[in-house]
Amino acid sequence: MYNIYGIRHHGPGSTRSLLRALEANPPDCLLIEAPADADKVLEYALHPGIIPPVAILLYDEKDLSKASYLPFASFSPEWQAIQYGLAQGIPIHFMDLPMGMQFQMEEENNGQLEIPLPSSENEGPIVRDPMGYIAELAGYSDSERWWEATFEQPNNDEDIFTSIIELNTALRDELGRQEPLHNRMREAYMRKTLRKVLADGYRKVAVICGAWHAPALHHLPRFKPKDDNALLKGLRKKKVAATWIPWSYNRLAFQSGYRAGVISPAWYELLFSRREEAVQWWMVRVAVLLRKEGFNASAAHATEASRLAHTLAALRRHPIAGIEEMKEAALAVFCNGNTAPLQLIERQLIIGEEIGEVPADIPQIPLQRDLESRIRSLRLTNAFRSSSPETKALDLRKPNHLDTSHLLHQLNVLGIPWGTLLEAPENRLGNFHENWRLEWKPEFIIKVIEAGMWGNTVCTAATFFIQKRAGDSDQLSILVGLAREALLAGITAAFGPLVARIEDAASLAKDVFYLMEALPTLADIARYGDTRQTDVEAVKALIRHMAPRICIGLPNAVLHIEEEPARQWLTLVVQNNRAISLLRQEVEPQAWINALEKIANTNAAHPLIRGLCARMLFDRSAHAPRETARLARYSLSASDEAQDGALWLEGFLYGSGLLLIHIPELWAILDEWITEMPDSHFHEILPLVRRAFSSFTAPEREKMLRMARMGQKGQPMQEEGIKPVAFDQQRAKQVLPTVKMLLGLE
Amino acid sequence: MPDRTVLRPPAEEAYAKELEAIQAADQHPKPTNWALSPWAAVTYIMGGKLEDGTAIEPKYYGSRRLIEVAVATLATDRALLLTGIPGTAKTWVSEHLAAAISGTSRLLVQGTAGLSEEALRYGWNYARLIAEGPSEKALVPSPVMLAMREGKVARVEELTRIPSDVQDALITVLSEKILPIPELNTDVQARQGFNIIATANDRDKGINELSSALRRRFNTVVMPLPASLEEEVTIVKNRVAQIGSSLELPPTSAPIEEIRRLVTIFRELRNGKTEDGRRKLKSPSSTLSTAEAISTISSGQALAIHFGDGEARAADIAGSLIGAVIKDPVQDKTAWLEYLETVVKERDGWGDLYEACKALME
Repeated sequence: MYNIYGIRHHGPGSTRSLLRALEANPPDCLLIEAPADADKVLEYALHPGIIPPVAILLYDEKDLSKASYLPFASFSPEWQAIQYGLAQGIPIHFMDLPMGMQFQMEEENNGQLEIPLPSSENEGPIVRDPMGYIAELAGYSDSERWWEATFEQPNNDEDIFTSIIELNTALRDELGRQEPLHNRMREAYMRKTLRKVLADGYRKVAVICGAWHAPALHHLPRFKPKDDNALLKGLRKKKVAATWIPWSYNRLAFQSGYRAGVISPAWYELLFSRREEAVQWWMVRVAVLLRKEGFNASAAHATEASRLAHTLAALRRHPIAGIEEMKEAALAVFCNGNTAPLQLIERQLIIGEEIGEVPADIPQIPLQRDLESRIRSLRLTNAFRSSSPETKALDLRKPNHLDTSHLLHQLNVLGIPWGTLLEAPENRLGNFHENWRLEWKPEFIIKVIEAGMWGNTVCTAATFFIQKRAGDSDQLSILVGLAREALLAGITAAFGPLVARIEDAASLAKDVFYLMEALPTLADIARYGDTRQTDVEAVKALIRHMAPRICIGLPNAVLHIEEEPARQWLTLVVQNNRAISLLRQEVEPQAWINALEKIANTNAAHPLIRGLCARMLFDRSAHAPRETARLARYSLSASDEAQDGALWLEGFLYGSGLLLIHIPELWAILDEWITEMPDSHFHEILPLVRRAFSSFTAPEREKMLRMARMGQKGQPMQEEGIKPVAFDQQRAKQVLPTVKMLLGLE
Repeated sequence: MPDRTVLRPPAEEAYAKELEAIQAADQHPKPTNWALSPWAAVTYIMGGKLEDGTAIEPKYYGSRRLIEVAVATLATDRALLLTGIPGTAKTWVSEHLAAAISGTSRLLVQGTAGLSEEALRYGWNYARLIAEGPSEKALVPSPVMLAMREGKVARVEELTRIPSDVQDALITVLSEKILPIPELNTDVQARQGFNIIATANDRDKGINELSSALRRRFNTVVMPLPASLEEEVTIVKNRVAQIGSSLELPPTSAPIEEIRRLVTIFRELRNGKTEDGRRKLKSPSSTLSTAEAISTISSGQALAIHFGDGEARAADIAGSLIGAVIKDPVQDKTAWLEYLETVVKERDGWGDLYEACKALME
């Protein structure tokens, strides 16, 4: 009538036994423990282009936060059973509670009850993997080996599954627990499916389910259909879409957080495909891997390591070597006791880096198709398929590279971080080069599907998404950030509306602080946007409106503030000063100079900012050295607080101390200030002065030290010991034409 | 009966009773020419209780898995290389492995920079050589050659101190298992059971790295420092008791608190942080291994017995403690003084130790 095959999820030993049992006793119908609504994509499993590890993705079309993955490796019993069934042409049904119902229940419980995956991730170890639990009790760290030792001995064959049912019946009786409601519903649904199939007239049904559920199905007559139906009554169902997606061994591994996962997918694959010589094969793979990495690893090493692993297993009285033995043998033979290469082995040969493949003609949402076709046309398929991170250097002057950059930025906009930019994001716009680190993770697929609600191509989805985010915010800094992202992603359609939003937000912004936060980025956009073929006229217009407001607002904003905010302002003033230098055509420099002048001469402004402004005025040649010296003498007057003087000095010397070297008068003022200061004050300001000087370059400081040693008070210093550099005037003149050309003076 | 006046009898004599008992109880298959089965060898080293109730004293307190790898290696035909910083029981383990497997730990080559190839292969009795010409009788076999003939385990101490060209004499021995004697046109073929345990120190200067051809003949086991304070205290306590009895020191109450304090100091200085992980410390250049902790305690004990009241106290330990820590007179001294002032001084109940060390430093 029917046979129950209780299996271990992703257990290669289970798979082998299952296949043997199916061959020995060919069924006319297969039932598999997996949500019934995944049925519709089942047929694709035989597609020649589908290569495990793959997963069935089930998701609620209306609420993409509800999604469930059903991973399969080539060695998973379910996968092999599906392959067998499809090849034989017998009907296969998934029999577990449909995911649509599970999503609905989750929603009704306000997400309180976390619905476990079909492999019941949330269950305790005994339910999730009863065999693994028993193996642990039997003293095996690696349950596959326990399976091997217990069931795979030559003479006991098909009765494995009978003993598994007995074992689990005993376990369940012994435990005597009331199964959680969710589990009872699932088992009821499975029984219902089984009854239906039997009623349909199938006479040799093979049921493949997790070992824990085997007794609940095997003792079918013990359960009344009426009770099962009552349990399932009134369950509503959400509409669920299903598709195949590529999966990875890394995500299949227990270590990555998949709780129904296994410790060593790559090793299990080997155990499945080459059971007899798995250890030797594995050691040879270690040798090949280490050789590739430049280690000294020969076939002789592999031989020795296999022998050591076998001997170790024998010493510990295990029938075959397990992962522990193999790791220890590899450590002693290949790695000379050094554990670093072992991590590489662990990553590649125990967990494995394989990623599955799903052919293009399996139903996908349009966005996904668009993404894949763009990946193909940009020749990124290898990076897309690979599971180890790759780096990619882009030269944005090449159209192909620019498109790649746009795609990666667009994906980032959509929250799919396939690529990460490696360098610091500062001034990224002015650069023709981008270095990306690409690492595709299978779970990004759900984000792709999620992003599908924004549009059918990556570009339109990103455009709409950015517009939506812009609509949600009226904070200037966020909007400017979005504009920048849009520019990087080449989303020109979103750019115009964004600039308009910024314009609105800027005119409403009361605080000059936010305007100043935005200006440097906008300046970057205006200046470098051209390299990305973007129309930045609107941005320039925007800057023309913003800059005067900054110039007016700034002098009042820095009055009577504490040191902490003053330091924030310091950075902003420096950035804006740079931005305004870049924008000669858009901003009238005189307005900025006036603002600086005003601050420099206002006592109530914070001394740090005052000093900075004095310095900038000097740098811009708005102040003659004499005027600068006057300001310095004024600010460092003895009557003032010593603390203020030191802060002023810090602001004034921000970035470089060359000024002190070149203007003897300034040096003298500083000298005087320090000399006349009472001891107690000196101690107080020393740390501040030290901080001001600490950013100078070593030659600068050295020179100052020399000057301090020689310089007498009030005397203009003499460049003693430093001879005027003798150079050949004739040769020096030869560079001038080139310099002129570079500066655009010709 | 072992000679009581011998300062330190070899392992197979000191633990003859245990070895006998294990041999009697050993039911597991033995590789040819092995005195014990691999299982029994591991039990001998890690300790345990036999079925007849004989208690086997643990010889090594670290990970059982390491010893299993070592024994399994010797059961294959690869040689075993034990490496690690000084004082991690490399020699100790190698001696006991040889005693357990071959019944003797005395086929020993002590590696030095001046070692010649004869010490690894064979030498000549020159008087005889001149008088009678080359013959078997004039040949002086090395411990390695003896081990090959008898199918036993030979030990090479401090392998990396031996000059590289001399080291390479081992390659043929380990790969071909044969030692040619061209002078006599003959050779020595190794019997089953022959193998080599080498120890090497990876911290010292002036060592000769193994050639990759030779390294390939060895499986490497890295001996770690004890993982926890408790483990290290146990090691020191047991070894101090054993040494005390062989030095004929009268049994004293084992100064367990002293041992704990000393091991704590060693560990903290070695790891560069306090045991609670809250404070960073300067590490001195000295290795401060478990072995040094053992000798520090036993010299403190000797001091107490001969010059004090018989119980090792802070003052007795302080002298050898300072000697163990300060190897470099400038840097180590700063590290030690800092440790003394910031950690020892502030710790409850450590006042006596602080005073004693302070008095010696002035």
